[in-house]
Amino acid sequence: MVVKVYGPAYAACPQRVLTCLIELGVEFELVSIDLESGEQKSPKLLLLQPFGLVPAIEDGDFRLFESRAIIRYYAAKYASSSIELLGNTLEERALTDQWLEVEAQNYNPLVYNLVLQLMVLPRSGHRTDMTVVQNCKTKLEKVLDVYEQRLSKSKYLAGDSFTLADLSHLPNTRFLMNEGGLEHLVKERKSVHSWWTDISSRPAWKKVMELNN
Amino acid sequence: MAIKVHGLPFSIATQRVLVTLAEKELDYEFVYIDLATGQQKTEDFVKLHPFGQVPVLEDGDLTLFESRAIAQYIAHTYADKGNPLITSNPKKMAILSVWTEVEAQRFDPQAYKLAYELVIKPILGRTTDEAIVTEHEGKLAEVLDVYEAHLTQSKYLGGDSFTLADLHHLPVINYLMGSKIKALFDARPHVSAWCADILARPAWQKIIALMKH
Repeated sequence: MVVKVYGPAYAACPQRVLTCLIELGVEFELVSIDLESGEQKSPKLLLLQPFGLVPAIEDGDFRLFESRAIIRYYAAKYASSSIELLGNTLEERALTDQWLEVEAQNYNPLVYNLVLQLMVLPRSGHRTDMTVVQNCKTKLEKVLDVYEQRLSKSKYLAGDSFTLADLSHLPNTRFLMNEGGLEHLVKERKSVHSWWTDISSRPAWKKVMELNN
Repeated sequence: MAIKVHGLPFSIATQRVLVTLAEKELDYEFVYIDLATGQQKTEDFVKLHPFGQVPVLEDGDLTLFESRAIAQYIAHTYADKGNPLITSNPKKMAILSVWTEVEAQRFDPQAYKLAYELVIKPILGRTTDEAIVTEHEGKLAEVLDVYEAHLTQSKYLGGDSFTLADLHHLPVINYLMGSKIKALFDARPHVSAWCADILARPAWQKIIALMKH
């Protein structure tokens, strides 16, 4: 039985899940949700995701929501000698968790607000608040300085290997590099730039980009 | 002593780590970081926490930051000590993980701001911003409606027993119970019962006692 992933392929959080599943070679069926018409708030989907958000997954009878919980589950389930997205030891796991938290607490809120101000609000006829945008950019510079420091000493965020901590950054960083118009933030930081080039050229991520087109 | 925690007893994130250590009955050395004088931004401290925040945990050679990652690490590494906070069953662990994400992504963004405006600012002698309170009160109410529905079918957030999913909420709920936001919790019987239950746990009572000193 294939895993059903609910959510559009263009949205950041479903992309996080799809990338992970492809990295692990897990077959899935994408059930696209029309966010613009509010399909995610329909009674049927609220049963899967009570906050009316995407993504959610159905794996037989088993249901989960929250993209970072989903990727942790599958990474643990399909851990093998060929791919270890959670690190090989308890300590590597802790460092993976640490940088996953950093992504969720320090990186995502800033990029999320930029997406909201620069894309979502204008599309629904609202004005962009440039103060918020500038605020986010300034904070993002400081966060990326910390990443630069880390990545100058460590090939990937949690250590020598690619883990969920790096994977989790793919969708939001893609936005910064494209519609966000903030690619200079990444390109101006040598280690962040090589890290981004590396992780965004992984076959799994490229497949998710293809799904989008 | 193997475990060291750097932080401040009043800090919500520090409390999250301290209560985890208390639940696991682990000894640790506490290093007080004076946020009022900006000690967390000194060069020495930034070596431990590149974002210049608290808490930081040291366990032998391992240094970790991000309170939720630290709590996960303690819960997994010391699984056989004190009270169980996680489960080895992958599906149950995944559901637990959904609700630790919900706490971080849905609950905390609203609840933390309310605790900051209504409880922390007055302690620091600053003025509450009522507009922020109004904005986040409404959003928290909606989140708590989802919690109420979930807790009608589940004794604790992650399942039948107390786990990290419940624990992560303790510091902020504790602060909010001392504010007008208590009414939001009281108005929802299952949420209210769950709060009373988790706040009464001996480990949490130890943290409250620490704060009084």
